[in-house]
Amino acid sequence: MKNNMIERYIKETGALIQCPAAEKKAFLSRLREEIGELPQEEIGSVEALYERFGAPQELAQSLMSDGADLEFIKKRTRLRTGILAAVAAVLLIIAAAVVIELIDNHRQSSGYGKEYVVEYYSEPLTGGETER
Amino acid sequence: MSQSQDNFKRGTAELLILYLLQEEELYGYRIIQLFNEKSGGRYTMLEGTLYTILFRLENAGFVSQRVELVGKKRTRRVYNITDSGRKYLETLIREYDEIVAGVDMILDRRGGADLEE
Repeated sequence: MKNNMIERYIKETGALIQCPAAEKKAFLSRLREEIGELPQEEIGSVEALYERFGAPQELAQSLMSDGADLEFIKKRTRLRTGILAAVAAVLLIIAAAVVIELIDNHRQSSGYGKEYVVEYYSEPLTGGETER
Repeated sequence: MSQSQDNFKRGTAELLILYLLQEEELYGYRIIQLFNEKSGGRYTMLEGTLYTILFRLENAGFVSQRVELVGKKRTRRVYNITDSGRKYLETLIREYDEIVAGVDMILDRRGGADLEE
């Protein structure tokens, strides 16, 4: 229970921190250690954790000493996620089309393709019709 | 806490943390307690905020830390000021004095602000 709560807190904080990846990882690791060293009774609930360490937003804001705007960061992250999802979708569609085309080519070159032979017969002329 | 108070604290926190550490090595929660005790409850700080500052100070080489055993199993991190941290503290105190003197002059306060209890 304690570990899950800490991990959720660390994850929420990490999502808001915008700094070099190595620095972010090192800080979150330290934070995990500092909280983890506390006795269970001192941080028994999420409320107690927030009261003592601050909300993830406060913590992230504090680490980013340049006073970065968290709302702006959230919007930028959402936009980036949206763009990535759109690019991924387009790539998926292209990949699917290429695979279908390749399978089709493979079938045709390996004799899987169906051949249709259309034969035309010239019907004999029946009575009543005059040949010119 | 108001935004302006938060800004003031951000500017002075490093100075105060290093000042306390030059007297003795301290663990995080003790620093928070000392802030509270010495300021009569006027200067409080969340533990999370403290660790972000300690993390920055350590990255800059102004603070070091070690893990000590408390009781049989529990451990806790104790922070020390380094030599370069002491020099940095001197610089911060000098800058702080300059700024406060300048602000007092602008506000026409020679003897410091009177604080309500």
